[in-house]
Order: sequence, then C-alpha cells, then structure tokens
Amino acid sequence: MQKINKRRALSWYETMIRIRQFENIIDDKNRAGHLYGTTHLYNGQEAIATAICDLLVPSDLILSTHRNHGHAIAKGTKTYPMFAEIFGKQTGTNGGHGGSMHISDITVGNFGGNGIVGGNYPVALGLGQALKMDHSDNIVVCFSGDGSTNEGTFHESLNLASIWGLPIIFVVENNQYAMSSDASVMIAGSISERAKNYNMATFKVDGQDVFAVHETFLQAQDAVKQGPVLIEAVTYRFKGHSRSDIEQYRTPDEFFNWEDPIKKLRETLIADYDISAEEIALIDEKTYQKLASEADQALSDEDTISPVDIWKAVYSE
Amino acid sequence: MNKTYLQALNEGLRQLLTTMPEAYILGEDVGTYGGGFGVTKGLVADFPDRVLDTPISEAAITGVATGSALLGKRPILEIQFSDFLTVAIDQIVNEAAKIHFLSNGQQSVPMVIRAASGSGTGASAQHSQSFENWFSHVPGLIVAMPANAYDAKGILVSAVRNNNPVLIFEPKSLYKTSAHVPDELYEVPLGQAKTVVSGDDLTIIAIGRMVEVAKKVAEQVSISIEIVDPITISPLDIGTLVSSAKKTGRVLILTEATKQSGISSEILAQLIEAGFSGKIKRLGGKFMPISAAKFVELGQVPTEIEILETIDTLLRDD
Repeated sequence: MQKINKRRALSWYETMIRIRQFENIIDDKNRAGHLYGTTHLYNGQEAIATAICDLLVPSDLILSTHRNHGHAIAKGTKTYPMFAEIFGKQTGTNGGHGGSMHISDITVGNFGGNGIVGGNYPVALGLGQALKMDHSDNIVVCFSGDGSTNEGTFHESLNLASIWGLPIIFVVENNQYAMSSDASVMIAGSISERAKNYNMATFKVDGQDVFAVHETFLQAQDAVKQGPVLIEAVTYRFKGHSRSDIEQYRTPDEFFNWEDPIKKLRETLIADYDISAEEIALIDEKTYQKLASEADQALSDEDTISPVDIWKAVYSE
Repeated sequence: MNKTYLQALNEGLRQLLTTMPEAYILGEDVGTYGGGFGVTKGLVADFPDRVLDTPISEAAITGVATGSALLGKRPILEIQFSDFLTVAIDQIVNEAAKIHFLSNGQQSVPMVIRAASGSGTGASAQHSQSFENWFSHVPGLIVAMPANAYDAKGILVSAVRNNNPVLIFEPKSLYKTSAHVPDELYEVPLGQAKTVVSGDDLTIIAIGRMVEVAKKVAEQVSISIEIVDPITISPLDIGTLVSSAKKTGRVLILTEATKQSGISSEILAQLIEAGFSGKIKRLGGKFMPISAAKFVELGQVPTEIEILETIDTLLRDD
C-alpha cells in the first residue's frame, strides 16, 4: 500500500537525483581542474535533506554545514548560482565570496552553510528566539554532522534551546565519519541519547530511507510545538571528507554495508509505484542535461573580483 | 545632570527598550541581579520579556544575539567580564563578523556586545584583561571603548542603531565616575575620535580609562597638552589623530592594553605612514597576566609617574 502518493515520491526522487548529479558534476569539474577551493560532497545522504525540506515552507529556516549543497538544493536554492558560487563567479549565490561551504539564500529561508563544525548551533538559537519573539509558526532546522556533537556549542545550544523552548529541530546526520575519525570511537554514548538528557524529544531514523525520514520528521514537526527536537539520521558518506581526502581510514568495500538512498528509492518506485525503469532513466537524463548546461554556463561567467569598496562589502551601512 | 557611567548606561538601555521594540537585552544575571556590575538593574521589572537571563554559555548566547539580529532584532548582549569573550570568540569572529561579507551583503548582524573590561579591581588574571587589541583585528566588527559616562550612553545608542556587530568595552574602573549626561537619547558617533583637551606642545592619544589619567597628568605640567580619545578602536579615525600629531609634533600613546601587537603599535604605524615625522612614545599595560596583589596590579598599567617621565623624555630630546 502506498502511504505516500506517487507525485510526492517522484518529487523526492527528482530532488535526490538533482543533488547527486549536481555534485557529480562538481566532482567532474574538480577533477578537470576547474575548482579553486575545496568541496564536501553529500553523496549518500540525499534522502535526509530531501524528505525534511519537502515538509518545510519557504519561511521556515535552515542552517547547514560545510557539507551544504544538498540542504541548499532541497530548500529551493537555485542550482545555477550554486555552480557559479562554487566556481568563484560574480553570479554566485554569495557573489563568489562564500564558496562551497557558505552557500546561502535567505529568499528561500536558507541561512547558509558554515565552515566551523558546530558553529551553526548557536546561530540557530538566535533564529529560533526571533521567531519565538514574533510569535511565528515557522521553525528552524539546524543540520549538523556527528562530529559537531563533540563541540561545546552542541551542548550549550541543546541546553539553552530546551530551557527556552525554542522552535528548533536539530538534525544530526551521523555519516559515521568526522573527516577521518570514526564516530564509533569518537562519541561516548549515542547522539540521540545525549539529547534525551537535555529533556528534548528525540528520534533516531534510517537516513538512507526517504520514507522513514519523512515519517520521522512529521512526528518531529508535531513535537517541536512543545519545544526543540533532535533527530539523529543514521547515514553514510560515500565520498571522502573533502576533495583532498585519499580515504586511508576505511576499507574500499565498507560502503557495500550501506544502502544507496537513491537506488533504494528507485527500486521502490519501480516495485510499488508502477513507474518504469525507462521513465526513471529519462528523469536522470533530463536532470543531468539541465545541470550540465548550467555548470558550463556558470563556468563562463565573470570571475569574482575584489570589491571596489571593501568597506561596504565587509560592513553593513 | 551628572550621572555615573553605570547610570548613563542604565538610562540609555531603558530608553532604547522603550523606543525600539526590536531591542532586547540578554546575558548572564542581567535580570533581577542587574548584570555583573549593575548596568541592567531594574530593567527586567519593566521589560520582563525583553531582559533575558541566560545560562553561563557564552558561545550559545552570542549565537542567540547573532541569529536574532539576522531576523531584525536588536540584541544587546552583556558578556559579564570581557575575559569571557574568549569563550565566545568563534561566534564573534567566525560568525557574527563575517556574515555580511560571506552573504555578499544580503544579511547583516545588528547586534551589540557590552563587556566590562580592564584591571584595577583586584579581580586577578582572568577577570581584568584588556582585550581590545584582539578584537580590533577582526574585519566586520566595530570595537569601541567609551572613556566617560557621556560617551558611554552616546556610543551605546549609536551601536544599537548600527547595522553591524559592535563590541563595546566598558572599563569597569570607570563605572562609578560621573559626567554630564543629557536625559534624552543622543548619539556619540562611532568611528570618530574626540579632542578631549586642546593643546599645542604634545599630543596624548589615550584610550579608555587612560583618558582620565592623561587629564590628571596634563594638569600637572607646564606645557600645553592636547588629549585625543579615538573612542572607537576599529575603525580607527586616524585622520583626527594625524592632525593633532602634526600640530604638536610630539605624541604619547597611552593604553591599558599591552603594547605588544596592539592598538598602540597600530596607531604608531599609521601615524608614520601618514607622514608624521615627530617623536612618538608608547606606554601600555605590562606584558604579563594581571596580578591579584594590589601594588603589583596598580603598576601594571601606565602610572602618572611613568607618564610624566615619558613626557619629560619627549621634551628633553629636542
């Protein structure tokens, strides 16, 4: 029986494949020497951003991490200026000054990535506090990774969010690795258990299953009416930490232990939703063509240059 | 009417809360306790939803200020002792100060951090530091250090109305000093130095509590001393400092913060780069942690005797 209608399931697939292919193109352009800076790929984690942002409205707010491409796309940030941003172009989401780790677009409620692990938790508190002061129904979703749960800001922020009853859903994507560090030897206890001690509603979900993430987030949206919530989404990062990672800390066959969320959804669409492999192949192809042409166009845009008036770029008027 | 530095700030905060619905105060013990030094005393009674006691979580509460400022609030955060800014430094330097640039100007962070600063109270090494040197190094941050009650209220008002993160160091040894402070709201402009005393023979550039020390010294000498207070340390109003330096031909820079890698080195360098060719001396805090022992502590910042001796040196070598 389908609990989720076909249109929604297909839209998830479209978002997930868009994220995957966007990053595959970034990876290709990197190998071809077109990337000046670094990039951190979300490959393997797409179901999480997709299912969650699908349940948000544009005026709900998100904060992300250095691994932010997936969250940005799922929240509605346009892919063309994202390419341009990563390529250091004036047409980028952040005028080329932020790069891969700092993509933001407040017109869709995306308050951006963050290069400091755990740096986004305290800022999420402030967004939540402002919404609370304005008696808004909107919420903040703060995406973070397993490594950030060992930062002091995680603990300070969960405590403060809880005592002040802030409308924040903390989504910790446990992709098993903080750079090269295995979460199982770096984290005492469990992430979701930690949150319970801050008197918060907590959930643990299979992050490779978009249906499960959707179901969990629905419950979280209900729970956040009473105060902050933490979701630990168990997932796997198929690519290295960043473009310079040669991955000596894990065995090449380890990823066979993990399901690919896109392959899993594709199989479900074919088995339960009467969608043919050909239809899916067509979506893949159309998505790729659109993204590839955006990337090429972005590459030909004007490079970002130093601001003429540095004062105005650094300080607000 | 004369008011103390504390009263001036308290009055300013009350008037800002009254006139700006988006302004609110947060910090450790800012409610019933009235803040670490009494600056926020009595405000929570009249603004119970806008004077927020926080846990001792400097990073988290700095983020509260930053995030709420992103959505248009005007947070005024008290960090009880400026020493504790180190616990929040990532949120200040990497988040609040960079967001405007990183967002290509689409986001701004109109927040104020007030922090009690400096030595002179016997509070020892972790409650007495002068960190203005550190933060003047951060692009995107405005750093000010008002030296009297009048400037304290005026800078606070300007800071809250400014669209950038502004860090105000309040020399805690000045909290009980008085000056004429108008009853109404007024601004003392950020980024603008003030000539406190006019003179012809020697310029003292003094910051924070050193301004009062400089005034006392100026009364004891026969030469005509000009005292200039930058008030805002970043961005520095170097033009006013250069004008005074060129007029008198001799400069003494006085800071409570250490000389090493500090604002006095910066002022000295910028004066020379601007073409000043007269004599310059600097006096600053000794390069050591602040001692708890009274007679050690009092000698760790420039004393009147040292200043008089240095002025003599500047004059003698002519």
